[in-house]
Amino acid sequence: MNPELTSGTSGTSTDEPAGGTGEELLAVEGLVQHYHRRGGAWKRLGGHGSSVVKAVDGVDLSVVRGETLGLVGESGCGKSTLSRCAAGLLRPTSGTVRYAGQALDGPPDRAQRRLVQMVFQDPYSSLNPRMTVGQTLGEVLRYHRVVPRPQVADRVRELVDLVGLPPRAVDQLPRSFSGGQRQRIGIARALALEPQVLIADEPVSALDVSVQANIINLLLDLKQSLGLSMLFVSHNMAVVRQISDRIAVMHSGVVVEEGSTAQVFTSPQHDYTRLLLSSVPRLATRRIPAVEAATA
Amino acid sequence: MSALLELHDVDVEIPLPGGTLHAVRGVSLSAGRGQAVGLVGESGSGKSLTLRAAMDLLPVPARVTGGTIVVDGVDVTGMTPERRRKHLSSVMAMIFQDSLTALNPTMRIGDQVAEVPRVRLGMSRSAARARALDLLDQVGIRDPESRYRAYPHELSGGMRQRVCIAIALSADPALILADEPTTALDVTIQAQVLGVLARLRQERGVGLMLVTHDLAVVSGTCDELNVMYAGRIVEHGRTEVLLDAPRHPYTAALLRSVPDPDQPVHRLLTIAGQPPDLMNPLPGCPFAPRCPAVVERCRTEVPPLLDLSAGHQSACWRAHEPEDWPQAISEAALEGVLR
Repeated sequence: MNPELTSGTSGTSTDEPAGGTGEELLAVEGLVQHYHRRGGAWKRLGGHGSSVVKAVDGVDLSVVRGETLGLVGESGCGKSTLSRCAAGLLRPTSGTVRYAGQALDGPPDRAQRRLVQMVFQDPYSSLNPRMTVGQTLGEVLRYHRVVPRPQVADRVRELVDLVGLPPRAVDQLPRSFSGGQRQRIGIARALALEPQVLIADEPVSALDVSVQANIINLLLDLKQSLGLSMLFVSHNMAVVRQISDRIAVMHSGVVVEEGSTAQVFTSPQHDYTRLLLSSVPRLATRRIPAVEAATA
Repeated sequence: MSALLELHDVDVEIPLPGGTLHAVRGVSLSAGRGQAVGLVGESGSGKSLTLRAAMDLLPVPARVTGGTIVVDGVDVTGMTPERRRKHLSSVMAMIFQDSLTALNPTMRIGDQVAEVPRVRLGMSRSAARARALDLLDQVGIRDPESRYRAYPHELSGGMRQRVCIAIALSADPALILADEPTTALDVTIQAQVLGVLARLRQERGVGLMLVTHDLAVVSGTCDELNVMYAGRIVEHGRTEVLLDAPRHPYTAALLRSVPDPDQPVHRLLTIAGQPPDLMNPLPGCPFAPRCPAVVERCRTEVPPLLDLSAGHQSACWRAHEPEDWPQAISEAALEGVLR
């Protein structure tokens, strides 16, 4: 595990843009999250009370301004637990979560929540099916008093436009949207609070490849135009390479390797990283020129 | 050599309250012994339904409404359900995406593998058990003796998928139909399971028809690809030809939208718009509304699969145009955005 905390300097990037200016926005230090699993009736009678699942077992990570940190690993490695702790949705067993240098004590308060927002994996279950897009976004804006009430409607329209949805989307229910469009709504909801850090937990895993490309491009655009920092959690190495400045590889609850994207991909140090990279299926041929496309 | 499975102009329709969804529209394809054929497409393209139609496992209320399905030289379309099932299962077996729901949760895995040899092949209990142990060993389950008594929930996803493959092999099929067999698995496990399938093909000459949305998976596994879009096969050809020089704009666009782990690009190419609604009849090429290379004819006439070279077909009116075609398409794509 890499104990290095001052990030952005941990790797010299060559072909990919370097991280931000070094101002730490989100950090976890010595983060531990253990789940206690109560055994079945027979196990308890036999005297084996409960077992402990060490989902996250001592992780230090930080995201600095303007950078995207990719967190990769296979199912069960603890990456989702880590991102939920970082978002303040889970209270860690031990260790600290810091937002802009300030340690979280219990659930984040309103101001802290505005700093860090989350986009979820499943765009079908993470939206309220009975609320229109306008209501979903309006609720967030009103609760956090992001803009004065009379301006909420205007702001909703701006957000819908920002994530590339048509204006009529405001009055529609989530069920009338495709998976990719729903994920755009989820991103708009997170962006409504003008956060500095976006935590995205597998945001494109439930989407088709052509739609996935759309959402990746959108996140890259938003990073550029809004100066967002991101903690991007994914099991898909190709997607992570596309979007991250720096990468942390997680395995069995600990970070086994951390470095700049180019570094991790071109000269992986840890055996597990090598195994992961060699397992990624690749297109047999890639002679089609990579075209720099404009967005749709 | 005759094909083990041939579909000719197969249609699948799903009657729904609001009308009929024409999910598969005139699909023809074939797979032979020892061949690995891929069927690629995005969600809703009809790839899974095509496979299920071949195995007579369509979910209610979907049904085959046209075309013929020929399995091992016998047309099964007109058979009684019982005879059809018997014939199909003597030639083919299927593997599903979700191994946890595919297996019986209340039965030990060994008994599930031994069930087909015992019931269908009429083996004795002990012979069936020996065969099940042998099959579990073949799919790479270490120490099959002790695993025999495990229940599905006690195994990991990769192990369960191996059990499913063992069950599929238990009646000695000539062709395995696999519906997204590795989608629910981690990449390292996916590599192992794909390895098992490749080895079976090599050692036993089992044919494979693989349905997946993952182009990288099919490119490493299959010799031949069929690309599906909106219920139709839009391009068919040898894998390397199709990946190297696609002659359908959808294939070309799809290939460019896949991020490459070895070569990040500044922006991924995306496909504007959405697939058509399959409830309605489509007057022209289903891809026309999203196609950067669309011409007037595309909107009114459905392009058939046109032969380009040996074994390579594309359902595009412009497939025959000159060599720099893919480049022209991408330029058209950029131009389309500027317009």
